[in-house]
Amino acid sequence: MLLWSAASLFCLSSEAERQETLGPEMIESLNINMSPERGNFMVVDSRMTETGTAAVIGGIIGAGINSAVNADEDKRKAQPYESAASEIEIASLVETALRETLTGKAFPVSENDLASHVLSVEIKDWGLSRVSFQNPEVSVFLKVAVVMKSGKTVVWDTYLKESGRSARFLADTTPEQFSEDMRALAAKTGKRIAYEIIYR
Amino acid sequence: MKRLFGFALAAMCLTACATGRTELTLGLADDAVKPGLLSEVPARTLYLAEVTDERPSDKADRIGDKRNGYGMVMGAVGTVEPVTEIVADTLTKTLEANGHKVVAAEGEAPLRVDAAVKIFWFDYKTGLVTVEFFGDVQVALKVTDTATGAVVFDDVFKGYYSDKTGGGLSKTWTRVMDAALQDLSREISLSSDLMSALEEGDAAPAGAESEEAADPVS
Repeated sequence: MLLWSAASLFCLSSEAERQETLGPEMIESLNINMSPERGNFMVVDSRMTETGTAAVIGGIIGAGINSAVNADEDKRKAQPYESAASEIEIASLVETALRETLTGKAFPVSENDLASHVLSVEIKDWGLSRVSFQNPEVSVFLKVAVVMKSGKTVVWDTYLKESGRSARFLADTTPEQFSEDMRALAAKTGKRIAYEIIYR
Repeated sequence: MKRLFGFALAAMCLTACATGRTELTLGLADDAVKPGLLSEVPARTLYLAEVTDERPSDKADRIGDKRNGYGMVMGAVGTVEPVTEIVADTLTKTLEANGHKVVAAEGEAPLRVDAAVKIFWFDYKTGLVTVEFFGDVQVALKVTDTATGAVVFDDVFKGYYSDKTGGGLSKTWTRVMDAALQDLSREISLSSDLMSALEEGDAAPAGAESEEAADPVS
């Protein structure tokens, strides 16, 4: 169990084989399919400082308990922001910025399912995340799964991870500040997806 | 009892094996840089001043920590080239990919670019069975009209990347930091504020050879 714990730290990673970059694909028309799912709102703070100490002392059970404790702590830290988070239409904000940026550049967005390309966007994790192991400040983050298909062929399959620029201590982060930063990041993410398509 | 003690000792050693310093060779690959909004501006000639290092003093000697299983810092992650040179190369490639000309002599350019590295940090979060790696590169960019001395642009760009895997060593760390540099390059390329600044800056167009590259992609 202990060896497994150690190995989980530094075992070899498998390279992603997805089409992470959109190439110079000819796009005649683009149908945008935004998933209405809200994804998972969360605060990642205690989990950021997780170590293998519990695994050394208590093996896999100890590690599991430690992870659960950290996850519970993060849930508790998320509570003050849950009301503000519930009012953020995160998918809608991303979609609006995405569509506005594309149409602003006269990109051929189509509502027709028979468009040459279909873009699927799905909100995954979002919320507040500790900046680093040593730096306890937090900043907003957003993870979005983006897939573009031409017929059945996947031409773009990426997992966008955006992080806010401003960082402050969790105790100093009001729900209003979180809401403002999160909305700005969602709009920026929508724009970013659009620009990645325009300047492919 | 001896076997149990030996097993525990071996396990403890294994979880505490992250020692020494690893130097990563980082940089923006030529095929990783693409034009963006900045390519819609008529080609400009820019003087890129020497990039300065304004990282926090307690993190200026490395780009990341190697921690053992208990979270204690046992080693460091550094770079073969200074981070200022890595960022200068990233900026040069980004501006050139957008059709602009970067020169080494200030007198030749109507616009001066000053860049300061604020953050250049690699980190990771260990989960129960996965490790999530993070790359964070933040650079302050200031563009000055050399004729008037007016600052036409002043902002901080953030290049960020994270990847959750089963684990990883220097190859993965390099990939994560290179991806953060690529993200920094895209953030700069796709900045509408910087585009406006270059557009409105009292700058003479660069040579005709680069004007062709200034055509927007789409």
